Amino acid sequence: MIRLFNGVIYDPAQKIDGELGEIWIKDDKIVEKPSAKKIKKLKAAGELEEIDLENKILMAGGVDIHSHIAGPKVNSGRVLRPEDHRRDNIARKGKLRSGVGSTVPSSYVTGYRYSMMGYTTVMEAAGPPMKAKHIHEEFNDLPFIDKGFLVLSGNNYFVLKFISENNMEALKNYLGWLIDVTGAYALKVVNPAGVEAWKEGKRMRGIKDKGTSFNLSPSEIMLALTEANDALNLPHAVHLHTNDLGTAGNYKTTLDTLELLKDRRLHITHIQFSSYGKNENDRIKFRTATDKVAAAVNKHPKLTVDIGQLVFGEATTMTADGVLEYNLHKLSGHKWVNTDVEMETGSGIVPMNYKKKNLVNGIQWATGMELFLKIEDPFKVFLTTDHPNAGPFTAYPWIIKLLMDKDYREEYISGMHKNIDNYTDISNLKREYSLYEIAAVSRSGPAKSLGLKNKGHLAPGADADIAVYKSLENKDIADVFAHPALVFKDGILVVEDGELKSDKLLPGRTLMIKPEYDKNIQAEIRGDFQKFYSMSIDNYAVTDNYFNKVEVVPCRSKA
Amino acid sequence: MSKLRLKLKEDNPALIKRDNEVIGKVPVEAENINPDLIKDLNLEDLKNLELLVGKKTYKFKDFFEIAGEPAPEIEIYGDLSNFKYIGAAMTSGKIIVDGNTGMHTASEMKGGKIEIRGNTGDWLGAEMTGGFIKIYGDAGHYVGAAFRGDKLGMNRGLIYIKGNAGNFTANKMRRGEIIINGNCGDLLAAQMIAGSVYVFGKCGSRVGAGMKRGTIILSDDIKLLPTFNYNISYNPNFLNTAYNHLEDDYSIKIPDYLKSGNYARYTGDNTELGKGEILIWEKE
Repeated sequence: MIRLFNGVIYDPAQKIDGELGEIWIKDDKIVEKPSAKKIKKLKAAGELEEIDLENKILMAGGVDIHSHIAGPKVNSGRVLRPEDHRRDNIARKGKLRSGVGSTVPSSYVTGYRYSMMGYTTVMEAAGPPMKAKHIHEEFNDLPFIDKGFLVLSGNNYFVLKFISENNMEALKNYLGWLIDVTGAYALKVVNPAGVEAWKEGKRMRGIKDKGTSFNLSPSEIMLALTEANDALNLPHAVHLHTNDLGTAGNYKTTLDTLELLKDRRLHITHIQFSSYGKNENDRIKFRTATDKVAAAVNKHPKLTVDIGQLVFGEATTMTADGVLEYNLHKLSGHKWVNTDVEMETGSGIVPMNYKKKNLVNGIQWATGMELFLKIEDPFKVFLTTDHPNAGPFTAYPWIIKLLMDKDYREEYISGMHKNIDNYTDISNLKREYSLYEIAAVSRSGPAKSLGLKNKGHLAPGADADIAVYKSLENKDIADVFAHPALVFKDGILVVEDGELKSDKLLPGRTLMIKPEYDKNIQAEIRGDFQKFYSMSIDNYAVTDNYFNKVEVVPCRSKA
Repeated sequence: MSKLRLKLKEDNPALIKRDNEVIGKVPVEAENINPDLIKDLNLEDLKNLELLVGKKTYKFKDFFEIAGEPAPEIEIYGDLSNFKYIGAAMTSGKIIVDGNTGMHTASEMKGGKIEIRGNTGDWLGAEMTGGFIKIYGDAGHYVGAAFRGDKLGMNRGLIYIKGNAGNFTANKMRRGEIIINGNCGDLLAAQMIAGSVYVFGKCGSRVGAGMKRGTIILSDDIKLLPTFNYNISYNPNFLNTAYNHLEDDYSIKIPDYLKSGNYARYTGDNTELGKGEILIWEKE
């Protein structure tokens, strides 16, 4: 057993805000304090390890709700960008394998760098179902962190077919089957109908128009999918990448979407990219529209969002939204990849370099910051950079510093484009995040939204994923969060003083769900599947030999 | 002025032997052969500087007989054709190699001078941003090019090759000058962004493919890509200035016949920006 004492605990899930306390760890779980008699016995047997944290900050291990860390798209990004890795090499050390870093790190380095920030659970944000095997193969090479993936379902042929036939039962069963056979964790919906329209050579704007050969509007698809998501009792809400993402004036689409789904469970991801206003007559078309979006988010009872905060420097945009990547390629002239994943989705990759002095990039940066500061409930808004789209996840400590230190934020804004205040109101926002709120946006909130009952808090029964940071006194906040004093994963000490312990390569778990559905659906779709897919339905499912260490997360109990 | 003299030992750890016969060489990563690093060391530290041989680490003293003292000027004797990254990223000082060198010689060089009195490998002066490279023999492929995936190749500086150069010379070059006395492989100055390349020998196919701006000066006729336009036949004034600058500042011998007569001017590549120019000297 391990006893961590004298730590200042921040655990928003239990409403603990900076109280001195202790945590007991047995094997891979946090447990109640044992009886005095048992402690005595443990001590006598030498089985109790006591660690004095000396007023250090104690939080649950970080949970990242949206990050592109594994799968075919990430791998194409690695191949596309040899220059991204050349200067960032990590040598083999003890049992730790070598790798390369930067915006699209190799799988091992992804695991190392997450755990070196105190993160222990990460969700791969978009996996095309027919490439699920690849994702699980990479997951097995992603050490130290628990992970799952969100399966792309917003432009899937069968999804659109069943919705257009108004066959909700088949839709529900198909989605259940899809999650089951791919080993996914939740449903990801990317630009519903928009990607399908793009694949048919059309463009769609807004959420009301019908444009694809299925004669469906994005609204109809989102309504059907959120309904099916609830019918399947999935632990996480529908994970939505909105329509018109990244275009000036798209806040209207976002507001329409929120209005449409106002009484449904919903997670809107990288909402920063969906909160832009438009100046009709200005040379710079962009401005922030965070007031309206934040107000709508604050009002919505069942909504959570993550930000996708922009980070200046190199990034690699990668998304299932093929049309968006086409726009970015045309805009930037950078090299690109675009893929049509058969019946399921699209995809694209374009490298980007966000510049601090660039006004549009500055407005994007401010949009993310403003949303952080304007959305009131820290359980509704989560810290992400949509890694590696808006920036690498290694920038989280820097974002935490921006949120917690108003003076630093003001100083930083003063170094940006001189006209930034004409398009944003970031300079007027005085709010500072507390450590409690940081713990909520980076741990408790995402874990709760994902329905991970054992993550993101420190109550007995939780997984012993724990991060201990040095006290903030006289220290740089970013430095403190970049170099945790101690990190425990499954009750095993993996990081000490900001350095990975090299004596073991601890495999993380793959998180998945097994929803209830009617298994006859496979026979029902067999005909179309065999006719249109390049692979047989019999080879489609991810077989058990792809799974190394699995945890099946229970679905929500029926209301 | 003091100099450091290094002589490669006949018998060194990079040699692969079978029955006392050398059958191959392990590549040596020698980015520590860099005047910026060496000039401030004492002799003892210099002897213990690391050289990576495959996955093993060796020291300078295992490879070299060391004479003189650590100084900004380094002379190396011996066949270093398996030594990579000699003078990589150097910013000042001088390296003279009496022999061959391997890949990545002077890559990402920022300043100073390198002289190779033999042949060198691929990626010579790749992504360099300053300094002067002089090769007495031949160079490999990708002279002054961009590394894989990068947008900009050589950006300032000058490379002079007395012998021949390989394919993809000046690939994605951004600034600076490359002078090749001998022949040159295929795809000279492909995807060039700006800068000047002179070739006094023959060139391979697809010269200037995808170039945006920049100048290619050739003495020998070539088969141009169809995406280049013929403009004019004339004697450009700036060439005399350029030739004088090369002769006076870098002691580069320019063939006399090139200093007079007309050049045919072509612009392209029209699949890209189309602002690049190719000047081909016209035989009477």
